[in-house]
Amino acid sequence: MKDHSSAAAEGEAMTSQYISFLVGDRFYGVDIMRVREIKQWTPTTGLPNQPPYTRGVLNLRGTIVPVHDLRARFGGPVTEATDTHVIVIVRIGEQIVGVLVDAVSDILTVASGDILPVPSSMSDVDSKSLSGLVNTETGMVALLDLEGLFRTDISTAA
Amino acid sequence: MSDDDDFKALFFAECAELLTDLQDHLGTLSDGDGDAETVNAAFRAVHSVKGGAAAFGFNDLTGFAHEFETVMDRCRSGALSITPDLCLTLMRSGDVMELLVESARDGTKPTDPLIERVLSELSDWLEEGGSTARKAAAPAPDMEEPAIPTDDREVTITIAPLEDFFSSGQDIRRIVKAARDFGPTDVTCKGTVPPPDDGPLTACGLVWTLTITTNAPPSKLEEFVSFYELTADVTLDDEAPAPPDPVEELEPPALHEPEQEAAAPKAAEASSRAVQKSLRVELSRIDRLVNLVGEIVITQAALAQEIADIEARLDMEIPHSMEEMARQTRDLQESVMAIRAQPIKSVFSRMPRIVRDLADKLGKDVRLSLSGEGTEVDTTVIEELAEPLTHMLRNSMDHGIEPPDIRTAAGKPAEGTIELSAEHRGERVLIRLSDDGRGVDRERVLAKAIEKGLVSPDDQLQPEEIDQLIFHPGFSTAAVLSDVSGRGVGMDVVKKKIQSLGGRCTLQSTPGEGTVFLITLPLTLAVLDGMTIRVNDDRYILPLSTVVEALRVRDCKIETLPDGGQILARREGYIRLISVRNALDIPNTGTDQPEDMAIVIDTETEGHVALLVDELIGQRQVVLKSIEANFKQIDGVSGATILGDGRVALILDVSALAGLNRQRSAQRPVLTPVSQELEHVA
Repeated sequence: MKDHSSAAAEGEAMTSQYISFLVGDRFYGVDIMRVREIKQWTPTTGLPNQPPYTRGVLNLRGTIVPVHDLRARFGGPVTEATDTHVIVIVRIGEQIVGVLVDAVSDILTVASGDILPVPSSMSDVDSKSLSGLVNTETGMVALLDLEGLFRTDISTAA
Repeated sequence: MSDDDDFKALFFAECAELLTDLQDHLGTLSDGDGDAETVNAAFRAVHSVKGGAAAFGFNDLTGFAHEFETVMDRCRSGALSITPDLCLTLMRSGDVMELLVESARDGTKPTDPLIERVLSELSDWLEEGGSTARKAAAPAPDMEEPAIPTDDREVTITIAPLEDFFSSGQDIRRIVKAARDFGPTDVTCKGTVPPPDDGPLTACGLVWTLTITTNAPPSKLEEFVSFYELTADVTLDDEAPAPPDPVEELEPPALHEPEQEAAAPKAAEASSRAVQKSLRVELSRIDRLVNLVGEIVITQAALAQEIADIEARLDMEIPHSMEEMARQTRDLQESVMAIRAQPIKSVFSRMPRIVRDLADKLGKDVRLSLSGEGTEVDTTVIEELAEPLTHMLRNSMDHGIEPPDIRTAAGKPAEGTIELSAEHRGERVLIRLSDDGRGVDRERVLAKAIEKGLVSPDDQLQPEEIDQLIFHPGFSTAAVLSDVSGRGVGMDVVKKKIQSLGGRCTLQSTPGEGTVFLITLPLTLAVLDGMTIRVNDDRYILPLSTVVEALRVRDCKIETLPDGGQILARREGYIRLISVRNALDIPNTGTDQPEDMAIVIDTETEGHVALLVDELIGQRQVVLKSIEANFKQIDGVSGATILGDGRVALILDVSALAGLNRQRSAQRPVLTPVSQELEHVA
């Protein structure tokens, strides 16, 4: 795995790997280096007075980890989670956060030159939460900007 | 370089310990309980700090320590007798050492005027002692150092490390480096390392010989050598043409003694010190252990549950290994928690310095007496306690204790007394800070509170209620904010801090006689005795220490106020009823008997309130987990824990819940019942 900062400078020679997953019929991707593990859905403990997309917290080997519903985060309905749903555990800064998605799809190797910018005309929630778009054989994969998606949680931390 | 930084960190950690010990010994001396060994121990502490400071080139610290040490040495030799005045100077010197260590650590130049003052006090003592002993005895080398350069000569220093050498952070490379400052140095090393099966390798079998070509004055070299005397057998062979320094008569260096002979008394000394030896372990490692044990406790509980199910199904009894394991797990948890426990002394010992500083600044005479310093409390609690305690102490010094003339006029001893004590009370620790000052000035407090709009002039307040006003946010009685207690923070900050530690803070004051602050704190922030309750299918934990009693709602009299707020009748009056379901905004998912139980909770900010819950499940000890670590702080919730089945349960913060509930109701419920408008619900 090559360093990202130099990847941009050296253009297409540099590649990164992304884990792609499905929410509904849309594909999303997260830098594989950010993913700690992928686990099957288990019921969470709800937290009071949180936005609907925050599904609560779960016990990840003794650590309390919040779980966010990606579908609901993008304005969709709250996911009716079942055993087939998965939680992608990612690192955001110093924090460990779970993201509820429908299924994990693939591992993508993407050359940095193939990452297309997000058009500015996109809706507010999307443009702040995506870091780029990639075209693959199965369709477009939107790369998530995890900080942008869940930054509000961090900044309001007391 | 990072190697050096590590050593520095170690040095500062050690300094803190040494200086605490030093103040202890000096305290003993000033109480008149000290003996020769106490003086020696104090001397060694100063000497060790000096040695380390010199190795790192902290010249201010080394210079001062040298002066201090010289005076201590005089006490040791009996040339100076220990008087209360001398003790005061020595204690102040200890304070200055702390100041200097701080500035060495921060890399700043020490500027406190106290340093100069104490330095001159020290030299006064030297002169006084010098009239009986010889004036030339133990002079500061800087003063003595002759400007005339002597010719280069060869000096041989041998260093044979003792047991403590490496563990005390000494490094032969650094010594050599320091020696090269004197001039070109040759190093040879002799000796053999004992075979590994020859018992534990404590002392290193090697002896280094440093041959330095130098023109440095002998005293400089002696000083250099003396830094290592405690941890190594050091000999100095100096063919200096200078006349033998009479100082050495007082403390003869062990000149070329065969190692075995020299090792014997030193080893005895080392073993007597080894008794109190402790191991320094990074807190993060202990925390990992605490977490692991916490998980084992949970797994064990889950296993016990599963086995109980199997037993029931198969109608058989599995031998009580399970109980045995439960006991062992509990013991294990307790032992691990005990590692985190520290005597509260580490925070108490900072207080005498604050009192001395303030007594000077305020022109007050104050004696601080400490007791129960050995009381053990969790490390985290101790760290967090320093700030509120300091603040309370300042408050007592500033507002409580009167100036000497007023005290004498009131028929009290001119010297004020502040007592600080700690003791265990069940699962909590009780800290008591009392002074014999003037007590809370109720008239002024009330006037101020009215002026600030905290209370209305028509309110009829009980004296105790007036006292409690000093905890009100933004309240500060000092008309002029002094740099002593009024740094813009008031007692409310103290109270908040104590509360955030899961503690309570109360005050009792008697006008003219003094004020007592009582703080109770949980012994640890890592485990908590909790009451498990259920709302819908979710379980929540209430801190057991806050639970007063549990009542069946159907047996109680509940009234509804015009604004929809509910109150519950109890023997001593009405208390607010808070629905956990409403406060946390949980929809009712059709439980059979919702809100069947009312649990009376004693909150710090809201007095007694009753929480409506669906079921009371029972008591259990829970391991505290942070939600903030990976998320953020959530109103009404103070933390989380993991239950036997692996699910997360939230720990409720009842004071905050009461606040949340109030935000939800349109209007604040009135506490006095207005009977005509009441309708019965239950």
